[in-house]
Amino acid sequence: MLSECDDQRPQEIYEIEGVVTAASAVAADCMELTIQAPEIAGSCRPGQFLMVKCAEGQDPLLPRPFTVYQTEANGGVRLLVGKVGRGSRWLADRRAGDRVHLTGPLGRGFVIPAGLRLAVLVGGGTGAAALGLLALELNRRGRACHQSVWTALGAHTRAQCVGIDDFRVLCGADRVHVWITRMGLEEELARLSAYLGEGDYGEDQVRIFAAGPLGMLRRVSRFAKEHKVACQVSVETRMACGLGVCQSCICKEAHGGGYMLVCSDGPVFDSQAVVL
Amino acid sequence: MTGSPASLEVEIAGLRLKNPVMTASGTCGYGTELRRIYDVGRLGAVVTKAITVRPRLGNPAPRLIERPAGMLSSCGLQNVGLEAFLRDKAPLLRELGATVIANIAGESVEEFQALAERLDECSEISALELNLSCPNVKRGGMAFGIDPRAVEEITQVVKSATTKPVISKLSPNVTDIVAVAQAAEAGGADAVSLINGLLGMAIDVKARRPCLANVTGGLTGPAIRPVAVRMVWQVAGNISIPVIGMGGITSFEDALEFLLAGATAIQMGTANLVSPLAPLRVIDGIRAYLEQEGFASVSDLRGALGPAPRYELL
Repeated sequence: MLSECDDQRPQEIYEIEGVVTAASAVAADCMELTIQAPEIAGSCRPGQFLMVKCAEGQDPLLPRPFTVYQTEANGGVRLLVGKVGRGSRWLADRRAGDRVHLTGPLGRGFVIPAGLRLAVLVGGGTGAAALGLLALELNRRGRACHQSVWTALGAHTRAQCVGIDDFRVLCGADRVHVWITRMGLEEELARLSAYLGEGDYGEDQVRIFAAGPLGMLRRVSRFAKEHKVACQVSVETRMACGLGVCQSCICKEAHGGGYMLVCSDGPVFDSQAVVL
Repeated sequence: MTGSPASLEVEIAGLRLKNPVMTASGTCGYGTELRRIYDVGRLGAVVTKAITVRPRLGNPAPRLIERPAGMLSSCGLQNVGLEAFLRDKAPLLRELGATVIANIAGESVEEFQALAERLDECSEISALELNLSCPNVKRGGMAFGIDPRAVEEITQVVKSATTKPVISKLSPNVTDIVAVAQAAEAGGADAVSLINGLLGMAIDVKARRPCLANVTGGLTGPAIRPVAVRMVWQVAGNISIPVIGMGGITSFEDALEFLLAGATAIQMGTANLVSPLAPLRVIDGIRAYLEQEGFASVSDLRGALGPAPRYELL
C-alpha cells in the first residue's frame, strides 16, 4: 500500500506525440479518446492530468488540460473530452490514426490515506473523469486497503452522465448511485449522510473524493465539513501551461490569503485548504 | 563547408553561452520546474521569473486570456521576494547545471539598486536582466521603460551596484524603441533584450466586461513576432552592445529571423507553455541550418541579412 507521502514523489514529465487508437461517443457532447502513450500510462496517478494541444497550427495556441480517465496495460490513455469550446471540439473530432501532442502526467492527484475504510466518490458531468483512475486504483488495492466504496455520479440530465458502466465494474454495480440535477444530488447526499451515520468511522477512515463543476464541489465540500469528513476536490480551471510556470490558474488559499496554482499545487486539494 | 560541426556558442558581455537559446522570464519559473521534462543545462541560459524586493501575491484571476496565435496576460509579478529567493530558490539553481540570469523588477530606482546589490553576492546567478516594463510607483505608475531617461538612470544605478553583466529588457510600448535602447547603452548596459509583451486588451462581449482582472495585459506569442523582429532589427543597427531578441519564437525558423535581424541570442517564452521541449528543437534546428547553409558559427548570421528583394514587373 502506498503511503500519502509516496503518492507525491516527483515524476518525470513526458512530452510526446500519441496516436489515437479509438474514439467513441460516451455521453451527450462527450467523446472518449484512447491515445497510445505508454510512458504516461505507465506512471500516471489518480487525479493527474495532461496538457493536450488542440489545434493543427497556432490557433488555438495553448494546450488544454484533461484528466486521465483510465490507463490501459497496453499503453493506452483514455480521456473524456466534453465539447465545451473550440479546443475541446477540435480534440473531440480526432479519430483512430490521428496524432495528438500531449504533455504529462501533471499535477498532484488524489491521496488514498492509510487505514481507509470508506471511499466516497462524487462526480459531476464530464469532470467525473478525474475519479476514473482513483476507482481503478481502489479496485486494484481491493479490500486490503479499503472496505467499501460509495459512488455518486450525476449531471443535469441523464444523457450527460459519464462513466456509469465503467464505475459499476470498478466499484461494484450496487455501489454506484446516479443523481440527476441539483435536487438529485441533495437526495444522494441525504442518503450518504444516513449511511455515514450507520458506520462507526474514525477520523481517517472516510474520505470524500469529488470531481465536477464548481457548484457541486462547493456543495460536497460543505457536506464534508458538516459531517466532519475530510474531502479532496479536483478543481477544474483554465490553464495555459499546466507546469506551474505561467501562474495563470490560481485559486485562493483558505488560510493565509495567498494564491495556489491549480496545475502544480493541485488540481486535487483538501477542500478546506482552498476557497472554492 | 558542410560536414564540420557548426559552433553555437555565443558571448554576451563576457558571459559565454553554449548556444543562443534561452527561456524567457516568467515562462520557466526558476528553471527547476522544467527539470522534470528535460535537462535545462542544454539551454544557453535560463532567465528566472521576476524577483522583487518584497514578496508579491500577484493579480487576481483571470490573469490570462488566449487570443489568435497569442495570449494576453497580467500576472502581477507574483513571486516569493528577494530574501526568500536567496534562501529557498537560489541554492537549487546550482543543481540545474545551467547558466542562470536573474530578472529583477523594482518599483523605484532604489529598489532596482537594492536587488542588484543583494544578488551580486549570489554565485548561482551569472547576469541580471532588468524588467523595465514595471510601473514607476513614484511617477504615477507609468512604466520605467517608456522613458529613455529612466532607462538610462536605472541601468546606470544597477551597473554600479553589481559586478555581473546587466541586460536591460526593453518595453515595446514606445514610439521610438531605438531611443530607449540607446539610453540603456548610455547607462552602461552590457546588452539589451527585447521585446517584452505588447500592451493589449481583450473584451468579453457577452459579459460586456474586460477579460482580465487587470483590464490590460501583455500580448505575447506568435501574434507579435513581426513587430519584435522589426524592433530587434532597428535596435541592432543602432547600438553596439549585443541584442537578445524575443517575441513569439516557436520554431528554429522563427529564431533565425531574429538572429539574421542582428540578435546575438534569443529567448523563448510563450512557446514553453505550449510545448516545453520547443527550445531544444530550436537549438537542433539552428545547428542543422548552420551546417546546411555552410556557416561555421551562429555569430556569422549577424550581418548575413541581404538587401530587400525588389521584383521588377515584366
